[in-house]
Amino acid sequence: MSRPCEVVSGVRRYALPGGTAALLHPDRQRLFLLNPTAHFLWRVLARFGGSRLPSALVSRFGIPLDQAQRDVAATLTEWQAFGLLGNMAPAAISPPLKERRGGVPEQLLYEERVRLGTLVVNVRAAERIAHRLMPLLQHLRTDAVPSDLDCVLQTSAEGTGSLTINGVTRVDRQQDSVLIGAFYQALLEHLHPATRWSAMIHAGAVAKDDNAVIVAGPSGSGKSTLVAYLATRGFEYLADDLVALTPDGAVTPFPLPVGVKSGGAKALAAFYRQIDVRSPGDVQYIAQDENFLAPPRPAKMLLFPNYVADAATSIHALSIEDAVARLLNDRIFFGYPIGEDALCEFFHWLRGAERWALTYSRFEEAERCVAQIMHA
Amino acid sequence: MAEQDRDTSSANETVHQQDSSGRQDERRNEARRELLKKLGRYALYTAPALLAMFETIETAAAS
Repeated sequence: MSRPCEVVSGVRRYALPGGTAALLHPDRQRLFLLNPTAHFLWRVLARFGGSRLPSALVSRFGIPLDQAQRDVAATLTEWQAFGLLGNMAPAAISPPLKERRGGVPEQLLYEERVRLGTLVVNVRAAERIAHRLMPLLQHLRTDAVPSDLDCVLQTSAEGTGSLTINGVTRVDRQQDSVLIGAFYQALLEHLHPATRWSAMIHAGAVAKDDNAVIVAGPSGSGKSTLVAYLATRGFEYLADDLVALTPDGAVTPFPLPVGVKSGGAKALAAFYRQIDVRSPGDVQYIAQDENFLAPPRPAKMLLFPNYVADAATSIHALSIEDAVARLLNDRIFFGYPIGEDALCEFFHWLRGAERWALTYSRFEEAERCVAQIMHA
Repeated sequence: MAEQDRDTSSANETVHQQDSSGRQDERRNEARRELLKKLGRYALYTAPALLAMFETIETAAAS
């Protein structure tokens, strides 16, 4: 079987410490993280072509030739499938999306005028979105007129919806989580019109002594619960769910209420009177000090917590490779298309940041770990 | 026919010699690899892998 023997032109490579690398596809919509061996193969392929790959592996690693041939073949097949090799039409990454239909618009049941810092926003939303947004915004109600922004979050019975800002459709035919994310992003952009961000990370953030800790991880890992706890312990609350990172690696405060799930709510009930442990809802929102105009705080630490009931507390440092893989496998936004400068800035920040994975079952021990690392 | 047999036989011998020579080469390579491993000459091998594949969407998303 003949294989394409060259890398597709226009791939941008970001070499990372430890020998790993990220590759940005020429379509600027896909990013790949290679382990050190795959990165080595990529460099050989880019420089010498495909015929030398097996022997290069043998020379460098001392593995048997047949193993090298098998591993190279598997790697090329994978890269070919992702459109990273020349002379091949890029394969679809995921099954083609069903054609999204706008559908019949649902009634806009919710209307609220809120103030975030100096920004007055009029929000109208259909019921499905309103259930998620109302608890986050209701404590920010204002009677101020006129509004700076008029946001309409419209849904349809087909499960998609649109976001319109001041009469201009910003996203259309998207899932609810994307609409809400786009809404947050629009708020941030209008709150800080002169700022751009290298990344928006699915994470929470707190700060102490002007240094921010980004608390990242998938839903259910206990990050919001830990953020809410640390906010009761002298940490300044900065954000939950979406952390906007500036090009120089600082967190822009976006202090909407922290959303904690029922397990976290029970654990936090001793610290927050407003928590109702008998609440039937999945998520309870805890409003914090809402200083939307506070300056960005340099993020010195990236923490991936994992709450495990009755587990002994343990913490270990993460390699860049591990931290990037965790972030890419969760939700992160580098722009659309992905910004090359944004990626450079993000990787630069990540190199200098403390990167840790924490397993905890007791708040006090988690706090002690965070404090120790921050003061180390 | 006899010519053909000879030819075939000759070809088989060549193949056999190549196989034998290849095996010897591989044995020597293996010995060399083992020695270099002991000397720490080789990098530790982990199979090449794609650790993550990320595809951007139109905008940031929320939980």
